[in-house]
Amino acid sequence: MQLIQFSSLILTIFTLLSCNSQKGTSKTQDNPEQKTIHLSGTYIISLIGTNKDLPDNLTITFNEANNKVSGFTGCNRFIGNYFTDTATIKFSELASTKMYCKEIMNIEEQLLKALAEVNSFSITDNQMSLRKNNAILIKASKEISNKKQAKENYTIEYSAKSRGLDRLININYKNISIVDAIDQSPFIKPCSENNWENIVKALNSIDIKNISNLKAPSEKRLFDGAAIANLTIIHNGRTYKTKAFDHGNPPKPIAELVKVILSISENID
Amino acid sequence: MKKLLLSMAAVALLFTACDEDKNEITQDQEIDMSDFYVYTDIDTEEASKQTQGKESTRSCYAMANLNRQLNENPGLEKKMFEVEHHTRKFLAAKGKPPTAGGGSGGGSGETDVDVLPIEDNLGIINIPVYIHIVYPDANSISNAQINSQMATLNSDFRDINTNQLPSGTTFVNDATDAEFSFSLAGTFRHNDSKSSWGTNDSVKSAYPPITPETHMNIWVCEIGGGILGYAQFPGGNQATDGIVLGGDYFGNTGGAYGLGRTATHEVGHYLNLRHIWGDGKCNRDDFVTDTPTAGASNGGCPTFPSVSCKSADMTMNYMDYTYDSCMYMFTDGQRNRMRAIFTSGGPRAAMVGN
Repeated sequence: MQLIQFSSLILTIFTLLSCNSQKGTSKTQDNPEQKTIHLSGTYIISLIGTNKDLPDNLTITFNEANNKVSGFTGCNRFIGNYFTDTATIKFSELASTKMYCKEIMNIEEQLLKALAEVNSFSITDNQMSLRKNNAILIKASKEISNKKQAKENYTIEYSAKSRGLDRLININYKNISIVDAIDQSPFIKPCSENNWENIVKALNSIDIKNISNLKAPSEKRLFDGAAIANLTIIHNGRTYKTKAFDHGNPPKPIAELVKVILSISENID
Repeated sequence: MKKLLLSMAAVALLFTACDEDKNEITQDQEIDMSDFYVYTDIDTEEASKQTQGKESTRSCYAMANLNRQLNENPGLEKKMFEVEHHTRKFLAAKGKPPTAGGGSGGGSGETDVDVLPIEDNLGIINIPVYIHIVYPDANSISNAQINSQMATLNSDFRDINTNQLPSGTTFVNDATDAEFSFSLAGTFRHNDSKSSWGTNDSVKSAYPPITPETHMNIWVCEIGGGILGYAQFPGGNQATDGIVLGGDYFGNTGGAYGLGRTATHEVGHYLNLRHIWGDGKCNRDDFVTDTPTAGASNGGCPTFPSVSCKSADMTMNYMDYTYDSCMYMFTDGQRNRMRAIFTSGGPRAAMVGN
């Protein structure tokens, strides 16, 4: 096991700066029009350096009351202090628990190394960037618990029915199930992270609340020229359902999602 | 639901109609086309919950939609609209007005609507049939198989089969003798190595229909994609008029779809019938008043009752998606609708007398 070395890393200039401003972190002293940046809260880390392929339980939490930072590396918890001014930030005295997790250690190392190098930050729309000079070292977004839930809190159902086809595909972040009512061969497989990412990506461009209003671009199902398709998105306990459309020709706004669903269901075995 | 009132009368009349309660329209020249759809439209979600007053507002609002749609697809949709209008005009003139429901599927499912067969003086309408067998080995579909299919069509469009109805249904008085017969006018065999024809009518362009004005053309080929057969509504392009059936579901074969009733279902479409559930949800109707509204198709062989839209679905209707052995009836309303297209001015009037 590799012990993580934490340095205090108090660079003089930044220390001076942060010490001067410490009292006023959550208040703008001189310029009332300057937007007060509240750091407090938990952020989910989505990028370290160039690495986007992260587990979604990496967090960093700021507490403005005592200037403490804490978080989770995916394996270990860490704590420390931070000092900040309008746009500068410095972490110090970071320490962590020392559990060993085979697959996560690499990420943990990257994260802690990046934190040690950070010297500035910005927040827009709850997206935090931690930078070294101009280079983004860490990206994180606020309200991780909500975001994580939001990400997981989708269930997608796609059904295709004709007289000779009765298929129901159900996908959530855990599983993909395909039930073929005619040949009675239901099966369930775990949903890979990659597959779920593709689903979520396709979902992001859809106005879910509006899918019930989408107009089917063709009507071949009315005379059996296409199986009848329906898409249902269940999100936070609410169910959004399209009207019937032709299997093979979904309304454009959901076309990408349907493509992803069908491609996942066809390539699974 | 698209709620628009189209009258035969001038535009001025239309504006008047918008302000009226639908039920008060009694002038026999006015046909309510408000629920007609070829292309599904936006805004059906809440329509069933609307009050009558609000519906009226919607009716006029939706006028623009129809115009736009007709512009987008002036050929087909207009033609289908005309077919529908002719059908309704005929039914309105000859048929007894229904006592409930009004055909737009408001959801009062408990009321049993009984439609009487309309006397149209057409007698038993015979439809001569050309069959095109398109397979790598076109002899793989035997004459016996063809004859079994013809026999199924001839019984399904005549037999009421009320003895097969489960107890507890209110469908006994709905089952009908549609009074159609089908005669084999010729079989054409084409050896073709293509293994899957899909549903884009390519088999029809490869082997064009023969006198579709007076004959029903049936293509038997491998379709694929879980499609057992597909049809074309009356009023469509003559060059693609007819139905296409997968050979495994043509005539007496085997399995759940082995009794030749895929053809019965497709001929239903060919004769202007919609699926019994309309296009899904309780407010998309099949334009037939004595079939209960249904929220979706039924498959397999459901145990009675399968309830949707607050009433038992007529899963034994040929226009549902159930197994062959579990579908065995058309209704009087469907009969009238099918026969209306053969009356004077109807899209298949030229077939009468063959």
